[in-house]
Amino acid sequence: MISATSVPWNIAVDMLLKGAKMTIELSVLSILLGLIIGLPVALMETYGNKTLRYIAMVYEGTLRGIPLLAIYFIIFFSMPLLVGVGLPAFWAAVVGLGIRSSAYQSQIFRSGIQAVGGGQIEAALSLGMSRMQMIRYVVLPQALRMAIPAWMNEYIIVLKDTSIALAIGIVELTRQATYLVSITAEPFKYYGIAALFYLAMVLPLTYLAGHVGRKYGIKGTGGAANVRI
Amino acid sequence: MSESNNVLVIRNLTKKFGEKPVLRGVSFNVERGETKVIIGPSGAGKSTLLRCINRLVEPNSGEIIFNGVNILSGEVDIRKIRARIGFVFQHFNLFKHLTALENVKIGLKVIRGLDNTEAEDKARKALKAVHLEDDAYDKYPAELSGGQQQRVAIARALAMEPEIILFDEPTSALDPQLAGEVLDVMRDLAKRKVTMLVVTHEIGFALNAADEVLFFYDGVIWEKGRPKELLYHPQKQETREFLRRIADLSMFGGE
Amino acid sequence: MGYAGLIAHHLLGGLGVTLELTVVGFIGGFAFGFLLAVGRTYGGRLSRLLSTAYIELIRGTPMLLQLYIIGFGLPLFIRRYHPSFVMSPLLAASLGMVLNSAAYQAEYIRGAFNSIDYGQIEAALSLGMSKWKIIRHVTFPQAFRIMLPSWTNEMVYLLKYSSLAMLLAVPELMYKASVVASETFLYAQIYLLVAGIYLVFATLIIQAMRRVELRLHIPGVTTIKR
Repeated sequence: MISATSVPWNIAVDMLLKGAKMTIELSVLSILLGLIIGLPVALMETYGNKTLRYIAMVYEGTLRGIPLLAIYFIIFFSMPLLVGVGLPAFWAAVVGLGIRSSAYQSQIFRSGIQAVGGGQIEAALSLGMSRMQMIRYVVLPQALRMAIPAWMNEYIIVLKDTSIALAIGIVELTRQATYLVSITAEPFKYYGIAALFYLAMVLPLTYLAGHVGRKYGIKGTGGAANVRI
Repeated sequence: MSESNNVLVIRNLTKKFGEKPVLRGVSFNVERGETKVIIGPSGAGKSTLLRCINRLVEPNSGEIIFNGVNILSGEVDIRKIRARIGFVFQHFNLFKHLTALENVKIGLKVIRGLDNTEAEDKARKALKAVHLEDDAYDKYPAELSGGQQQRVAIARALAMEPEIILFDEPTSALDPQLAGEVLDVMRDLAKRKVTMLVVTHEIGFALNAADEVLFFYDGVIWEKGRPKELLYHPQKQETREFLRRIADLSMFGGE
Repeated sequence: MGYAGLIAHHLLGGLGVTLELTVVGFIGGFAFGFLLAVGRTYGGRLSRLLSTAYIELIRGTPMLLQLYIIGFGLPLFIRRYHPSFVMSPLLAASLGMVLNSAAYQAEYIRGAFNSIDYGQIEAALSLGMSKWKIIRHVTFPQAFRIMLPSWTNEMVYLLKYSSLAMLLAVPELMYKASVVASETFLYAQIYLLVAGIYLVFATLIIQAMRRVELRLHIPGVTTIKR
């Protein structure tokens, strides 16, 4: 088709770094958004009344049952038509990945909350704590600590799924690599480098999560890292 | 020198784990119909000794002569030997996905090759011998008490009609009441002249049911004798100390 | 009326391809994953090294990257030597999904086999069972049941991520949705509809597997949640 051109090394590195930077930015913003939404949803699902619980369950059930690509397309293409307002691609990507992550994070926090022994809840209430105080001072500190390994695992998943944002035009690492490959016809070189970038980010985190998981984790959620929930 | 009455002869068995010697020349024998009990300090290697006998653990040197054949030699089909040696574990080790009855049947079907009816027949007989409650036959191990699980484990060993049954601290994982049910079954078996080699802390059982008691210490059989002799009049210092410690505890525990 | 029918026809075709990708990915992934698990547990030094390296490589990189390597990068490379080489996108996507799923399934399989306590193996050995008999009568029946929830997860995962094949121009559901949407300008409706279809199938898978889990449940071996 098109004859291959070679790309000067410094330009290629520049492009890949730009992509890596975008990957990391996107992943960090998304995981944080996921946290901000996911924790309240977890609380709703555990402590809420019937209505709140139902809303929480529908929310996380739906977002976990549809592809991220579908979420992206709905936010990016459907939203402007439905609501009249559209998000720029970058924020659409953050919101899409963020709300999907929030659904998974809500389950992680729920496990953590449920793992805090019932005896402590009885003790807290016997001391005269209100429900809110009990949640804030007894349950959450422990639940969050126990959730750390699974949460780190979720971050790894988010990091890898930032690649899907290229479908709505985000210039992240996989997209940059693909672009370079399409120009130079050197797939193993550029995809190889991209793979190394991802591995360099994922492997240490996996190891760390496994380590933390052995110390703090709840059996069955996040003891082993890099698992597809 | 009639070896023909001995089911098991152990000669100079040694075993090291890395640098640490665990068995330093163990020798004894078990005659047909005998109940032999091994006592001794925890962690000293009694479990290892039993596991060497059916070669779950490979000893470094020595002889294990089972019915006249040295089973440590190369040409021996260890699986066939294992089928003739019963083993009852401290933690029962029942197959979790099978009911009590199925646990007892499986060896008969898969190893002895019996058909379902025969296997079922023998299995029920074995479970009766251990007095398993009727409603427990179709329950899974997770649904049984510890005492029931261990009795099923004994039945599983019994059903294979072995020439000797090895018991590795069969009641150590059970609370006193459940331990009692299991010890009753074992006393029963001893009375019926089943050949048994039992590692245990239950001195009461040793007194009632054993033909001989062996005190295992420092990797060897330190002392041995008839139950009343060894337990009431131990000759060696170490034996006395060990018994004193155990007796102190069991005095409060009741027998 | 014919309009809606046409849309339905397109989407149904896409759904077929999606389900195909999911099923092939799952079964192929299990087969290859099983080999990887065996290689990693029972293999010699080289097998263990290779299987571990493979698993870590696949699990440490995005599936989309892997799909692009197989569907875009590989054909490009081969075309340097055989200029007329063409790889069917469906084949590339299927291959990519199989290779990806295998790495994850290998770990599920390994985990299930390892979770069976050694005591039961000792007991089986003491009865005189051979290694194969132990696997067949003791390990496998339990490992199989323990793996069921992982299978559910994996199937739903593959269902959702089959949508990535769209970017390789595979005519699966998401691809067809985008085609139909851009032709009818019914972006909102089509994408919401398609999301709904994924959700329905994900739920079907979960419900069906739950039924299987309940049927095969043995207390002490598997746990029933909720």
